Amino acid sequence: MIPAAFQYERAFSVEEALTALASDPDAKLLSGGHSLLPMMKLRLARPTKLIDITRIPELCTITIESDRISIGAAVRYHQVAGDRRLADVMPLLGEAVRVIADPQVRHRGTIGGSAAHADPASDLAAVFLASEAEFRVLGPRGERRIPADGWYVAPLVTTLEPDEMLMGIDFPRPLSSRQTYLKFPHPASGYALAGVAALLSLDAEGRVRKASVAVTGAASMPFRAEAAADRLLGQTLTKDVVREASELGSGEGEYTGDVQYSALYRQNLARVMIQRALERLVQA
Amino acid sequence: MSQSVYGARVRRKEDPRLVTGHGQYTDDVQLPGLLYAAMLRSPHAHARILSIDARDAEAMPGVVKVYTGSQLKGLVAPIPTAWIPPESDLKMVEHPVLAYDRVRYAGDGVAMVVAESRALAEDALDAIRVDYEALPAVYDQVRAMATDAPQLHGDAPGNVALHWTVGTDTDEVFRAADVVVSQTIRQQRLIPNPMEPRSAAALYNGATGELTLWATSQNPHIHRVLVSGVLGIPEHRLRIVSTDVGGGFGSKIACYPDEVLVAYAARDLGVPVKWTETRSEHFTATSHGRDHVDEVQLAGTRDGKVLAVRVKAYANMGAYLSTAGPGVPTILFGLIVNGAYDIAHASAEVYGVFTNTTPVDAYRGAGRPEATFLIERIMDRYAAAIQMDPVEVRRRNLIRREQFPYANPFGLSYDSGDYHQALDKALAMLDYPAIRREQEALRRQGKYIGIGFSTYVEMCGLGPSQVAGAVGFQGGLWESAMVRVHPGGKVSVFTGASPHGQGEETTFAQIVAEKLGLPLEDIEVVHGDTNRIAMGWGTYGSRTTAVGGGALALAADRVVAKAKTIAAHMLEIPEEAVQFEEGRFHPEGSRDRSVSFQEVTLQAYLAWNLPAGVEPGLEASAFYDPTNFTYPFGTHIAVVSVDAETGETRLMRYIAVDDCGPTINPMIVEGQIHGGIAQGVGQALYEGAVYDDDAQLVTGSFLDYAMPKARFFPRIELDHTVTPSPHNPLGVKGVGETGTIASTPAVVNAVMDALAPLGVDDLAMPFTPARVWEAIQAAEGRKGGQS
Ligand SMILES: Cc1cc2nc3c(=O)[nH]c(=O)nc-3n(C[C@H](O)[C@H](O)[C@H](O)COP(=O)(O)OP(=O)(O)OC[C@H]3O[C@@H](n4cnc5c(N)ncnc54)[C@H](O)[C@@H]3O)c2cc1C
Repeated sequence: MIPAAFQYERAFSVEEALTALASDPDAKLLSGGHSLLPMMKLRLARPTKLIDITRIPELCTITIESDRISIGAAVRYHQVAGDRRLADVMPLLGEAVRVIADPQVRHRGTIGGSAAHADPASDLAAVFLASEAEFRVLGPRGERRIPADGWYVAPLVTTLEPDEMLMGIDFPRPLSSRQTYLKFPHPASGYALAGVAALLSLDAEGRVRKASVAVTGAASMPFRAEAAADRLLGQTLTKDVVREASELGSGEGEYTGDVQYSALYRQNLARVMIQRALERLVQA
Repeated sequence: MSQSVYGARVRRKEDPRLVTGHGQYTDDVQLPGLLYAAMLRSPHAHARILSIDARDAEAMPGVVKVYTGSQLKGLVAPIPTAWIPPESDLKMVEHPVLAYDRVRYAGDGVAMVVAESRALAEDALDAIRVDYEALPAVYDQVRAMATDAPQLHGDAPGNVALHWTVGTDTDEVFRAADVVVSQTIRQQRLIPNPMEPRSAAALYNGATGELTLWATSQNPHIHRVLVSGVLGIPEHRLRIVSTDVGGGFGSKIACYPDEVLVAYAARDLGVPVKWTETRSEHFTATSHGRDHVDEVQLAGTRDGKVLAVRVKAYANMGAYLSTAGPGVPTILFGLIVNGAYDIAHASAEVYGVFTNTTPVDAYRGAGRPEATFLIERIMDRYAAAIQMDPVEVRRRNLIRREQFPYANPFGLSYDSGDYHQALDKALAMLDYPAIRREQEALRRQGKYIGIGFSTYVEMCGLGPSQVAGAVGFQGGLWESAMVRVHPGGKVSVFTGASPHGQGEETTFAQIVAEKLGLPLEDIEVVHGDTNRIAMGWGTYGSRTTAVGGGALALAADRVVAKAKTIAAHMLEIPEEAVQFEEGRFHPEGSRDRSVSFQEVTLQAYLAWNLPAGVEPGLEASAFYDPTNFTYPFGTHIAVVSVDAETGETRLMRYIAVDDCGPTINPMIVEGQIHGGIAQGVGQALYEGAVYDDDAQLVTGSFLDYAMPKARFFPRIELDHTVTPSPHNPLGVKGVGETGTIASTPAVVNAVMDALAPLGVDDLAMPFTPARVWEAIQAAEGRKGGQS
């Protein structure tokens, strides 16, 4: 329960952080610390050096422009939850961060930390995928922009290179106006056993113009339920359409069971949660 | 007029200290030169130790010493068990403080590092090389009894730790009965998880030979006896301190190798040593609870009269016998399997079995939840079999008011009660007919709610000592108290009970405030230090107020009696004419002349003018041995909804009507009931240790092991009936465990009631969403197959 010895360094600028990261292959960036420190205490991670990035001004801001929303990587969950402007333009984000863990974790944990840690049950993974977020990354080879679809590689693995830093996450605007995040927490950990982010826009006749659904927690990797969205497009949202979309959408995940929650159960839960998220949007 | 604090909802005196971080827990102990210990634990559930190489670890800077089992063998005695049920053929297998030839569960101690900091000690663990030869392991008690199962101990063939039977012959009744219902039930293994992990710190004074051991103990005096024996330190040179302890739930009764090792190292090195378990360690190295497989059978008539009940139980003891372990599935379980019902014939047969798992010991309720679960479940099965409402079946079999004291088939004498009154009160709170109508209406919409009952009784307030002896508990079960009035009129109360969260610093002060007519602030309750309290037996089995409070009431009465003698002398009237009211002594019928309790106290100490033959000073002690257990009872009702699509169970309502006799502090009583209920619901719906085929604990952290959380609960609806117990001076019955005992079956019965129309009729705890959903799927599959 005590980490192996390590050095601590605080970076005050992006350059400082990147230089420090480049100079030591066993260094790690420290953001909220709520995933990294528990791993270190269990000695599953043994970085030689931690580079604290939470005082770098560029990483701590939320900007809202006409064509996008940019959230700095070190923005903490509680900042997102308390941001009025965000609540207007992207209520989904606030809804999702408010069901992450408890106030202590929300006070420390960061948006970028969640993205970089890439826990397959992280709540924000569903939000990033469903809202087609883009990850801004900076490293010795310059800047890269990675779409959410290309970000998650495997549990705890992303396309980020060890010497790169996630700068922030951009969400394109306008986003569909009907948005929701629905979570079924694991009774033990509180992480999502299934979490569904869904966005919908309807035309004047009530037919679906745009739809996007993503699922976290249930399958071995978070995934976008394309088939659900396809089934919804152009349709009026009858019970049958919603049911079929949920069935199709949940079928896209790859499920593996553990001793308590079987693959079959997980797929069923994904289906039910997609359906309930969509039903919420029908009523919205 | 001052308001009596006895029976009032006064705030807990201990809380300001505890909630502002000023508690003195064991891990808070800081001493000059303190060293830190860390334990190397076996990663294997069963293995031979071929060699241990600690040279690299010992060479690390800051590492003082590494201890291994073979070094300590012969120097430190094995850990004893303190409960030897008679005629149980108990196998007292060796439990070394550190394994030296074989490890028997994942978590078994293999080596201890002592270093200058905790971080260094943990670093050094990584540098110890142990060569193991893995052996086949078994975690399930039924499989462990099979002939080809891995054997844990040479002197316990077939892994049988004990075999014990009790009760009357039931065969004849079962043969003749019209209705027999049977069920095999698994009561899963639970991990106690008090908020404070276990911890120990030791300081040795080489000049005097005195050793002080701070330890997270529910019973420091029992620890003193055991540690004294294991280390050969005489009791007058051994001080155990357990003043602030952050919850135990039974897991801090046992004497563990860890505190013995810390004490040993402090003496060996001549430097103080401290160790605190990590949460991960707690999951494998601290005693677990429950883990039964039970075959239960009930015989009855078609019109709802239970004739007999019998149980065959297989209790998992873990790899070694924990301190109170053997008593839990025998005495605390077998003697009460008839529950709150008037059943003439009953029997229990128990096998205690060694497996490659963490030792099992008392866990809140200890044995009584297991018994209550069986009888309350089988009553529901019986009701279903004869198509009678579960409430009606209970009503027909509950012991009636006029039957007390009631002799149960195992020789227990239930003290007092009106079980039907508690049932009626709870039903009225529920509005039973209305909720059944609602259930019907919802079922037609494809929604499932269920109503579950538990009309329980339990035996607690452990004492008397004669019974302790008769049932093989290697100690007394009386309690001690001392009331010392200081010259200025303030009071110190010393109790041999050892509260660790239950609030007796407040309730005991209330008892004394009432007796001496003093304000609560003037009374301090001292506990958990063997140098300040001569002797006592600690806190478990809901005994603290029933037994410790009894001792305290007697001691306080003795103080008042002496004060009265002195007051009579001061007032110059005969003692019989003195009246004591609201802290003042005055002649009967007249308040013109009076002396205060403080004035009398001062006189007692000045001793300028004491009556002839009266000694100076004002203090009294009492050693109180109760005449019997106490038997709190009541009715708990759970209303649940089950989401058939996700399998999720939600508690909609929870009603509890309990009778623990008169309540000294209703707020504290309610707190005990709330917490107890949450813990019992934990077993029904959330908690459960899961082992894999290699006997590795796979639910070894809060990521997988689900504790009940506040958000899972509705407002709990409480009420009481009050039937004093004739078995102790205050008439109180224990209430620390009732909630846990009653709630597990109430919730399980409710879920089974909800699932009945879906065709689910058997399900193992915990009722996780996946289990419930899978059971529904399986039932639908069966239905589909039939049509
Ligand atoms: C008790 C508890 C409960 C939790 N419950 C939930 C839950 O319900 N839902 C949920 O989604 N999460 C949950 N979490 C996880 C929480 O959200 C974490 O805080 C989050 O996943 C990681 O964010 P962080 O800022 O703490 O990252 P850190 O722990 O600081 O970092 C995590 C990893 O990301 C890397 N990293 C961080 N920032 C960057 C960056 N800008 N560029 C490159 N690499 C970076 C670090 O080097 C590290 O490897 C829980 C955590 C705890 C402790």
